[in-house]
Amino acid sequence: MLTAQLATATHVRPKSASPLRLSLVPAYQQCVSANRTHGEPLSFPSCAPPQQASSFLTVGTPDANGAAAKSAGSIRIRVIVGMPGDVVTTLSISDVRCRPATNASVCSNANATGGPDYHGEIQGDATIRITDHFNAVAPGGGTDAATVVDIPFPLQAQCVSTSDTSVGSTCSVTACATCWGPPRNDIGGKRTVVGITQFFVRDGGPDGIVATEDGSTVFLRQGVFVP
Amino acid sequence: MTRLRLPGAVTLLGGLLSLCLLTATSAQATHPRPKSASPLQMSLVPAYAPCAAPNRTHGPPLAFPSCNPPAQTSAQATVGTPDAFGGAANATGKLRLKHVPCLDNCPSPTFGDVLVNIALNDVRCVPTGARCGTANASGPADYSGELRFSFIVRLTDHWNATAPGGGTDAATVQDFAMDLPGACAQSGSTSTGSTCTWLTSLNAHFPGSVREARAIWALDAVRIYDGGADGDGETTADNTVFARPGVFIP
Repeated sequence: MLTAQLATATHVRPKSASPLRLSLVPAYQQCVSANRTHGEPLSFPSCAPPQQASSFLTVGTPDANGAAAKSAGSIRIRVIVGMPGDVVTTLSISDVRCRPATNASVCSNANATGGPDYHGEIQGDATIRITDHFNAVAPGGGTDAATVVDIPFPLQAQCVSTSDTSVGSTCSVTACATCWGPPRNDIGGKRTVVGITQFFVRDGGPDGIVATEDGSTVFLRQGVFVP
Repeated sequence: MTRLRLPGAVTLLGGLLSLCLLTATSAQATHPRPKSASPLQMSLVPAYAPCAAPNRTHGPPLAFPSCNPPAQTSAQATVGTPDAFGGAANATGKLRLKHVPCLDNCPSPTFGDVLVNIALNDVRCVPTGARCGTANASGPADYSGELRFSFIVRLTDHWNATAPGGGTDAATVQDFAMDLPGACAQSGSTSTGSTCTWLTSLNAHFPGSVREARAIWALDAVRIYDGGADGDGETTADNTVFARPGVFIP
């Protein structure tokens, strides 16, 4: 006998929580074998030279690759309240350039200094934890409050070369759940609390294609830059 | 993981002042950096425990396994919700980190700063919690403990050397945690919970930590912890996660 259970528990929730705007910084590899010490008061072991986590992408920097520092990146996640509602995500990164290991097929428009423009793909990634009132014992949805297993939140973008020889490519995308499809009845009216882990951006690997899973690496992470 | 809290930072600073005159090596390498990356602004939502033993299925299209009932990770703090513990849904939370340059009478080297602005309201104690203050007309009482803002940093900058004391070498520091306790004020209203705020800066909490040295502060594990049963944000062993970055879709 299969009897649907009524919602027997609920969950606390805020009045509102939106938007998130995360600035992005180049990602560096973790320091494991330290050979330096940082200045006080943060006098922790450190690793010189810094190693970019991405093997394939970089940004213009005068004393690293000779190009001016023109890169800025951010992601914005905004809730549109309604029935149905929506979640609009905008990712934007400027001055994206190839490193030497990147396939020439996705590197073009040589710049006056620094690496050429990158016109492959990137992918924003985070893990989300959803808690809402749209669950049931049987598949198909219901009214039970529950926390969903952690799931990925990918956001893919195409990078486009610029004609300006002083700056790299621009990678941007705006995505929403209902931009290209019918309204979704799972967004809006379900008291959905979405916890988001650290956001980061992957490159497309040597071929610039995210889907080929040929060793894409982390290009950017959420953070703050103090010049 | 090294954890940096205010008392420890002060001790650390004092203990290392005698090493400041050691010779620094020259910068041998540099690091790609952005033109700018600030501010970082996050809305905050109540934190829930991960789903480990599913007993439900979420509705399509996100038809993944799920766990009923949801379990808040905090053992001490919650927010008003009519169909949970009671009280109107008044809670909002936001966090903002913003770089501010030194604009006037700047010393050399220049210390900028990162402003920390966090505000959470309608913070209440869980009914079984140890930190319950003024009762409310509906739902749990005001939360009377502290909260703690915590995050992990991967810092890459030009302020390293072979010998202690700092220098000009570019390097990536081993990941470390920063913790900033924040006070909560009971509301005085019987319809809403406490207000917890941080209006400070990293240099105010950890003097000299933010320096204009092409510093890339990559941040991970951004969390707001409760103060545990003792309500003290600095005694971390009993603190549990109250809020985390996220969005709410009503």
